[in-house]
Amino acid sequence: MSQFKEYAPVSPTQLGFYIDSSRCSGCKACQVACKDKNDLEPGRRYRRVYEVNGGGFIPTGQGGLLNDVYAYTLSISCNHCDDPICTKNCPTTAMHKRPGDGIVRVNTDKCVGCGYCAWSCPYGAPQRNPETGQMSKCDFCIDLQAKGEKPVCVTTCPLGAIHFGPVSELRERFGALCDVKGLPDSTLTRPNLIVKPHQGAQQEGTRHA
Amino acid sequence: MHELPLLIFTLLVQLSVGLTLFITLALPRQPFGDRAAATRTLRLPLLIACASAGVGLLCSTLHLGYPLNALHALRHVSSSWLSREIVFAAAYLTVLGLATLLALFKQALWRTLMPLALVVGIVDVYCMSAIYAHSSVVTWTHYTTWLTFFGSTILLGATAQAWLIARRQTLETRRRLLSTGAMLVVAAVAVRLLFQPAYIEYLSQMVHRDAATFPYRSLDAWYDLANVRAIGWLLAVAGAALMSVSAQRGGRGVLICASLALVLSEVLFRYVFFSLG
Repeated sequence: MSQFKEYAPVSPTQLGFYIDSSRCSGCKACQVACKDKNDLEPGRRYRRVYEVNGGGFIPTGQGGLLNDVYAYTLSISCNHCDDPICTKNCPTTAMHKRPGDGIVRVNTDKCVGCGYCAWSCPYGAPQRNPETGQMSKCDFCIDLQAKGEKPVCVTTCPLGAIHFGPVSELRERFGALCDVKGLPDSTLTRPNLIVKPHQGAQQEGTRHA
Repeated sequence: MHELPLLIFTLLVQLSVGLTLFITLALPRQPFGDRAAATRTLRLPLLIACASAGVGLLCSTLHLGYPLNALHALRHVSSSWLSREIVFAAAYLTVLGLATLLALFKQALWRTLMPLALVVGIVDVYCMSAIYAHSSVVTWTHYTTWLTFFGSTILLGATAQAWLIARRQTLETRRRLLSTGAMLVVAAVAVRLLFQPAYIEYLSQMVHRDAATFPYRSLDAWYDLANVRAIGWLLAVAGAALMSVSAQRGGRGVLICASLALVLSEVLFRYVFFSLG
């Protein structure tokens, strides 16, 4: 069993992430920094960079082809949702949402390692620690935030594509979009995530509209 | 297979609840004057129902990564179907265990406990289905999950009844019990088949909604295992038909074939269910 350490709220209001997917190059520095900071073995990733692709080639009818092929990357961790299905389904209450900062954490003093949270979260945030058998996930680098520092993914991104802060402020600055191709319907869990979509995601949205 | 403990657990608990169902159905048909004889004939199925649920529950702990915290799993009854399922599974085993103990000591009270055990068992199977239906695994999040689990309860229970309950009865009672069992088996397979098109249509809609972020690819596994599903359906239909023939005409060979076909189809369906890609 891993040691669980409680922290005082690091923000009086709900925290969230802003991901500038239009700027993300898919270098995975955020993913690697997160793995390094949390000492994660191969396979376990609290922050994950997904490649989303689509589009195709359309014959012009005059021997030519038009294309709207696109591929972009999305950096996703836990979104510390307003309505987290992982905490709702967890039988032990180990998976809990903190008052104040709204960070979703696993209390390893209670976690039984049933994996129901992993079957529930559509973002793939909870993952089993093979060493302890218990669940683990992004805790918003709460230890760093308690010291007044930023989460490691935010400070690592060379393109400045990841921001964090009170989600109300982020939404004021960047809008409230969090439904792009590749992500689940945001009404399922109401994630505290804002995405600036890549051109491809916008194209896809237009096509389905 | 990663979820083997859950495959064994769900099938064994459903077998147990099915057996409880058929023991309860058989109770009014026991000779009124000789209660001790009735208790004697139903003792073995009772013990097997208990053992099946007990072994199933033990198997389920193999799925846990850190079983030492198992008692904490009762804390979230207000919102977690898994907590509710654990509560009802424990309650079911307690009532059934008590009834079995009373039957072993030839106390007539065990008969009145059986309907209670059956109700708690049915609630348990409902909660068990709800666990999966309330996840984000697309092949589970449909009402057919309830049909699958309740169907298994009937199919496995009826099969166990044919071997453990009916054989020790008078000819007339045996015929009636087997007919009821066969009818329920045919109905369970027919209802499941009837709702397959709705399930397939639901899954075809989910193909476009599958999020890149969800780590399980159960839909891919479901399509990849088309052959296993086809064999499962053939065995289920053949098993139901053979069970009906066996109820009408008797014959050990037919019953063996029917039982094997039904049990194997259940194992195959459950294997597909727990294949998460």
